Amino acid sequence: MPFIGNDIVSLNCPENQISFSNNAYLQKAFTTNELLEINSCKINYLPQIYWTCKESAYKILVKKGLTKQFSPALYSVDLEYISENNLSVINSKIQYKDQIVFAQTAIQPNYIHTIAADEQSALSAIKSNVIKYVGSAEMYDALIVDFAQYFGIDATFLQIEKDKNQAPFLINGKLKTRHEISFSHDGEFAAFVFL
Amino acid sequence: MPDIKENIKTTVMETKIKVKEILNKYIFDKSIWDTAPENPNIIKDLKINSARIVDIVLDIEDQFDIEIDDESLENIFTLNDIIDIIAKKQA
Repeated sequence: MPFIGNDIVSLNCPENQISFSNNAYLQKAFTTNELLEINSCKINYLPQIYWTCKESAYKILVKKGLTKQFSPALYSVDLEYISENNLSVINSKIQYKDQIVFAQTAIQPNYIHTIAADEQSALSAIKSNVIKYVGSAEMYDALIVDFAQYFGIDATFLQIEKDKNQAPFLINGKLKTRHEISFSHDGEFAAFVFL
Repeated sequence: MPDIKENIKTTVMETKIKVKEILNKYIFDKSIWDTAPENPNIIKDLKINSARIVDIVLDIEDQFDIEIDDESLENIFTLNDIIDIIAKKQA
């Protein structure tokens, strides 16, 4: 079964605006190639796009037991070429050591959201949602409701647990099945994905 | 003659205070220290956003005049991990 991850960055969060426009921050978080792309200014919000790709990949690698802490410059993001007229969705490949993760980023007026999987074919099967962040419990409940509705099952059988690496997964208590999920929140937004 | 062990202890204490001041800049709810463990996990216990980790590293590099490389960053989980890495880099 493929592993999935996701990450959201709010474009309204003042701390993010400060960090992603700070040259020292950019030098620390991004690779030489990424910095060249950022400095070329071809795409708006490129630091935020790269960041969400990297953190989505990190969440997958945590699940695989390959890392425990996020060091963004160790992740190299290769964006698929897109025309300047089609910037709503960007596909990318992220490399961490010998691992490759595939990602798709949605650019919205108020946030950047990336979904990722360690198998490219899984990307199109990922279900995602972005909601207003109220708290972790509400975010977990929203995923359970969406999951239950999508698969037409009783939500009372669904439970979110965490593995030994503190990565979340969903258990269907009735069918005794385990499902891939991922959460993210930043500023006023929460995002989740399931497979 | 000054007690070397006592000096080292004082230096660690001073480092800890300075690191806690840096971490505090990125903690939304400062009262979280009241319930945090003695050696808190930066993200899990102090609820610091992962995007702020880079800011924290930059502040530590500035404050202690050291450089924390990308591989070392992967080994920073707790307050004591930061103190240990500062001691190693300053040795």
